Amino acid sequence: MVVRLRAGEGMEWAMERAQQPTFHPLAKFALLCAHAAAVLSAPGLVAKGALALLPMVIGRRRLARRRAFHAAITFGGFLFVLQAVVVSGSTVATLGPLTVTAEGLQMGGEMALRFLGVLGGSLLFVATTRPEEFASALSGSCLPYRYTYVLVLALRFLPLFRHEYFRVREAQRVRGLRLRPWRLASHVRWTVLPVLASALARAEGVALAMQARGFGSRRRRTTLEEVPWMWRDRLVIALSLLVLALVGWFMSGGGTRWP
Amino acid sequence: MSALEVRRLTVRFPTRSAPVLEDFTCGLERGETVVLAGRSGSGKSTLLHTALGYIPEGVPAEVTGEVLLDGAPAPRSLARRGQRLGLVQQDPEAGLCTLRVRDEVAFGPENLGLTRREIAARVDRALSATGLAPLAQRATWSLSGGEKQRTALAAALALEPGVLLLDEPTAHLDPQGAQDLLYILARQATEGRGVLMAEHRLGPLWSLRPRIVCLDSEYPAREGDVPWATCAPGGAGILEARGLRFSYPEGEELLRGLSFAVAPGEVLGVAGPNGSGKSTVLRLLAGLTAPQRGTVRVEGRDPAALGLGERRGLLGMVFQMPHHQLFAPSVAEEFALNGCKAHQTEAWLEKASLQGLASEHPLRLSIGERRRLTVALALAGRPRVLLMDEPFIGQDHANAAWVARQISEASRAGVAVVLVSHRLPLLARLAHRVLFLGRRTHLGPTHEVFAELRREGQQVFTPEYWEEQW
Repeated sequence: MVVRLRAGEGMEWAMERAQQPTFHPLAKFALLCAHAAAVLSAPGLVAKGALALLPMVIGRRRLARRRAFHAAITFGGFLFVLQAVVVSGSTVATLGPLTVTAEGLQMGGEMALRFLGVLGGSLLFVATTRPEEFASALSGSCLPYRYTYVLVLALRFLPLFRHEYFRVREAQRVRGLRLRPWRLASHVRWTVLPVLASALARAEGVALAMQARGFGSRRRRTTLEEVPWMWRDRLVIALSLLVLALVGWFMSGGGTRWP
Repeated sequence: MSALEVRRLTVRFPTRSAPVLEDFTCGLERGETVVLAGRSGSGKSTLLHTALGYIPEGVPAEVTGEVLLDGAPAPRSLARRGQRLGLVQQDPEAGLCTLRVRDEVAFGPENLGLTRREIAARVDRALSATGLAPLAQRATWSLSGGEKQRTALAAALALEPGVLLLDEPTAHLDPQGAQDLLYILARQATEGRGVLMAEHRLGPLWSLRPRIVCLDSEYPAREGDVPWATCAPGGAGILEARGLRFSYPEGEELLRGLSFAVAPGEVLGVAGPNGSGKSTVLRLLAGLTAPQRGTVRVEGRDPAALGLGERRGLLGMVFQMPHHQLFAPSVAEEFALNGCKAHQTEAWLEKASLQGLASEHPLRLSIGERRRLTVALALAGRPRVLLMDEPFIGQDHANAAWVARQISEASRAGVAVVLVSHRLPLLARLAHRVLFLGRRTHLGPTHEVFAELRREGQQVFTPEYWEEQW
């Protein structure tokens, strides 16, 4: 992340990040939106494939470390295979009782590439952007920080709630409480409500702790590490807007060919 | 002039008939350490939370009396009080609201609208005072309990308050972590900060030379009536672990070929630093986590393969966080889940000092009450093997002694108990043998393991070091 340092603000961390050629969080977000719009609207497998591969090529090292990305590839493959054998059309091959059709391959390929393209881009955004930076950047764009900070809190609490859910399920197992999978009311009563009650109590506690540390007491808050706008961020924003405009023009039937 | 003074403070909660604090007056000078002592429910946490303004701002209560800061009435706004009184809560997780240690410490100063230079200076000072500088870039969720507690303290210090309020700050810490925290607090007091702390374990606090304020006329109560464990019972192990190896993904190996057996009626104490694998051992024994190598057998069977019906009556477990195992809408229904009749429920509630709480929602109970409830629930199931993870957290002397007596009685009735605890004096009394998980693993009769730790220079992990001196 590029950080302009003032005299006396030399922090090792900021120095380290200043050497990394990345972009302002809002510029990355605009690029993510433009990329997703392009992947979803691109006609044909080649264009879709090229766009879907883009984030994977750019962020191959970061994505390779993410379990979510591996799961996305597996699910993408599953979507492809499912469509290939489920959609009817002209037969390409027969595998026992299953028939692979040309239309199925086309549809499955498009669906899998759309999925991988959008998810790959989003995961790369998550991998390269700290939530605090994104929340702070959103606050800088005139959104009240009380709302933008919800993003940070959500990311702080999601793993915690997941952890609490599994602990409650384990405790039920230890105490010999049997919940039939199809009895939703039991799950709501014995699992969802306790986790929710515990989550609300925790959220209430954290809200009070935040208030006691001055959160919400002033209209604006300063941030320790602010990401300034650079010329290349503006360039990325302009490029993203251009892509979004072209996609919109094409989707509304303004163009005869996809750009 | 006192840095903090409460005058004739009375706090009454709508759900309880008697006031928790009544006409209470107390002062704290700069550079002074005051420890609030008293039984559970005597109002220690209530006093801290009322001083800060949590009560009645976030918790409805009728409050009368005055809170003065440096001789003047404390501001009504929670945010303005928070700049002068820094709170560290019992549950280190409770106050953390960001994803990285440095961000967490910077959060308060950022809210005050300070310049970036001032924020950076405050953050650096707070990180250095708490020894957290090397962990500044770490994710908050990846920290150990002790590191989280130090992060919460650093976050409070970054606001540069005149007074630190701490609610049982050592409850979740291992002996080494607790000792480190006490050193930090001693330094804060010498730098002129007032330290007001609620704590049950007074012994370790003597290094701070505190003034003790008792909120309870019947305090102190000693743990002296906890019986010492007699000779270890012999016989074949009802619980057997052989060659257990375990490591978490991307973590170093926690257990390297651990083997032991626990006989009926035996208490095996498990001690060691935070993160050494104590809770993991219990999870492996309960069949909740599978070992990478090795086997666990309970009465000759794999606990992971036990049916739900078979678990009842065989395995009982007390989790480290009581709220994880309380999921019924009332205390009485929690007992009903264990198959207890109404009169049995009443008997257990009376035993656990939880009378009159049968219709209460379990999550509305205090941490100490919840803990006793989970202990009572585990025992009410009449298990033959009892696995307990930190059952003394949040308990005053009398209640800790009650929990200890339950363990002792269960042991005499032939229940095999595996007890994880940082309360080493109690562990030493109850355990026939001790398993110490640390740089080196020790397993043997209690006195031999602690003697070995003394020889290795790990006095902080011996009961004598933490013996109550009250």
